[in-house]
Amino acid sequence: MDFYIGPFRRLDSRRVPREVEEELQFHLDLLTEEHCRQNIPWEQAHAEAIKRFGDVEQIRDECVRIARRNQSAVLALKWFFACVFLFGVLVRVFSTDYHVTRIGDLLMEVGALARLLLYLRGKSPSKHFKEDDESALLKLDVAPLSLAAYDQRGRTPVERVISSK
Amino acid sequence: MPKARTDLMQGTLELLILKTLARDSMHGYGIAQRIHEAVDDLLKVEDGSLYPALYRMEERGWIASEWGISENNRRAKFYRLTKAGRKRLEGERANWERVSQAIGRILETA
Repeated sequence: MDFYIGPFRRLDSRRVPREVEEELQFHLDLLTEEHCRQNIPWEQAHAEAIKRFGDVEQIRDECVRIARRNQSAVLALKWFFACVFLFGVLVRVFSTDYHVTRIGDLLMEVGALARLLLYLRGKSPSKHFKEDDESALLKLDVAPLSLAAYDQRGRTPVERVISSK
Repeated sequence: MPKARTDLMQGTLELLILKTLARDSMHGYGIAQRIHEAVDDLLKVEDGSLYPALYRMEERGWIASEWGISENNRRAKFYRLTKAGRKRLEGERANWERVSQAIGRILETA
């Protein structure tokens, strides 16, 4: 049932911030409880929890921004195909004419198939990102002897790289 | 060079999360606890910094999440590693070993 209800539920614009808030609150509550178990008064335990957690508002905004990114187009498509499917069902139910019911069948098939494809796409990794995020990696040349200034032929590291290409 | 330092830390945090989730699915607090236990105060990881990293990783398809009930009967979001995440973990691990080997060589020779 979630397969068809999902797109409708996601139209709730407050859903993402609400879920992020709930998730962060859960973490903060457990952190506070953790400090309370050490016989620290609740207020102090809560302050310690916030200190360990970091800037809650900034983190919440960042999470909401990431969660909402790239969702709009896919969401619109999911919504559209769910509607196509439902329209097909209505046509199929309320029409007795053979040709019209065939159109209903066709709409149902298109809607269900497209929705299934979008569901499978959601299961696979996002294609919006490069597989290698260059900014997050520290790349070093670790070939043997690459750290020496000059090799046996007196070439600098730059010359060695150029000649190896 | 503060930018370079942040970038390296981001990659490191992602590697720690991937490795933590390789065993079983966990909520954010569980991941933070597991990392704190493992690094034993050698690395200072702010709990909150995990969440933007988790959301980014989910967006990239390395992890998936679903709401469930936690050990204290509260609604919590549980994260698990996907097939793509497992592949990423292998790649990141190999990369980390290469980098630490390289830095080790520099420290020995310099």
